[in-house]
Amino acid sequence: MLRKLFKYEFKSTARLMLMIYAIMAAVTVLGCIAMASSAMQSDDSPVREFFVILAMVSYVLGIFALFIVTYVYMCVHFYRTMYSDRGYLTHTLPVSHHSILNVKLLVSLFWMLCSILLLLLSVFALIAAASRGAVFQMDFSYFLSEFYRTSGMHFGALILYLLVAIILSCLLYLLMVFTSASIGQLFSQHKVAASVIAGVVLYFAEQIISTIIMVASGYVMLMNDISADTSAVSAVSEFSDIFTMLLTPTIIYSVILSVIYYVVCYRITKKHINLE
Amino acid sequence: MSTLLECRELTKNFGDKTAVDHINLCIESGHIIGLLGPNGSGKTTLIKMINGLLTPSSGTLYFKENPIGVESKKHISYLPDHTYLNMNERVSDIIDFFTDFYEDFDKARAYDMLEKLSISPSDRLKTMSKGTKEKVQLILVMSRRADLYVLDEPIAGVDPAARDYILNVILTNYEPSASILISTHLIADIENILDEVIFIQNGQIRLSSSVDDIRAAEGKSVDTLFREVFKC
Repeated sequence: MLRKLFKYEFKSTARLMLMIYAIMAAVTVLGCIAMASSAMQSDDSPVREFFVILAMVSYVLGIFALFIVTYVYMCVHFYRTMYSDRGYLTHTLPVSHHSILNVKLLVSLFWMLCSILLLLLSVFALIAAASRGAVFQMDFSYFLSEFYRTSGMHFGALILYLLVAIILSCLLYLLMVFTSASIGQLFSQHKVAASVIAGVVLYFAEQIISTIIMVASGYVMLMNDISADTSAVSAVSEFSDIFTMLLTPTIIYSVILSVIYYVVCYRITKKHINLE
Repeated sequence: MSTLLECRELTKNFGDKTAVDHINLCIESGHIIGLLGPNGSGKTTLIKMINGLLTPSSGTLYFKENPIGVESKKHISYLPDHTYLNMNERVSDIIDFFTDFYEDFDKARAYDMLEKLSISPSDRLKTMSKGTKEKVQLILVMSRRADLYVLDEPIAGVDPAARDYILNVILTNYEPSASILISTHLIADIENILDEVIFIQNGQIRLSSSVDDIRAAEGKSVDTLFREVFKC
């Protein structure tokens, strides 16, 4: 049954997501053309500069909008298939609430990560176009050894850390919205408005709690120390420690909060479903 | 004959309003039961609890001696009182969906009924009229070989000419051991197919009896009795 749920969840979301990615690819191609033409021309005519700036602004806005659309679409899709008319079908399928929630969460996470991956590829393509392919000739082994020498951290470890942090952030913000929608559906009237308000409340509560934790854990003091120390060499040499010190609590915090959101969302779906 | 569904002191509150008020009900296999009552009497709320779409405030609800859950959903075929399918999908896609999820879904039966009603499986739901959408939903629900069919207002949105066909679909597509619970206020149209009726008012059962007993004891049709009981 889980396989079937995945199949239909992908099927019902793929159409719009592939359209979004096609637009993303088109915007990237336009950005690359603008960059490449700018790099090839030596004159600095105001018209060319205007065109390049316009293309870049459009590119940044376009890519940003597409990423937001991915997130918003996942949230709307969840609400529609769980708590509006289509929820009648979802909740009368002979599958457990866990399966439904897990599949929706994992498929949404998959599309979010795909969007991030495509965003990175798009930026890389732009850099490649601007450097006229010079980026491909870069000495990566030299870069890696230099990175390790100056930061005291392996580049692979940095990427792994960031990857875990990105996945957990996506998971956290998806679960936050799923929980908001689940809270909103408990109301007899104005369920969508109640979901939005619940989302805003959860977001601000989360921001307040994370600020308190940051202050309590000495993060703010650490940041002040770094700003006070003007020596770049000193800051770089501490990069590894600072990075680990910042990301580790963030990762732990995301895991704890995600678990709380998941449990709340699951309990509401199982015990307090309210498709009036 | 075995007990399919049993409610004990089943109650559902929405804030300070009680939609279903301590209902005790037992549905045996092999019956067609009319769940009759005026608007706002609690029919749809009761049906939604049977299908796990609303959680009871108190009381118990059992299907074949098990609480409502994955097992009950395998054996209850539910028709909501409004469209609940993805309007962008083709009928054939939805049939594939039902085939995948419901082991008791009879694909051949669904295509046969579609053909008889001249509905093209390749049409998307959003291109259909309201009545045709309701027919498609009914076909999907009645193509399952379920133990209990729960139909919420199955004939409310279709023209009188199509009602006879729909009632015929209902009558000819359920197993003799299965039961059908039909909620409606169009009593005259379905009276002839009912074995039993449950009158519900203000969330409480006002009357539960076989149609034959009503006719014998009261000397009147269910429709006439309903109009008398619920006279405004």
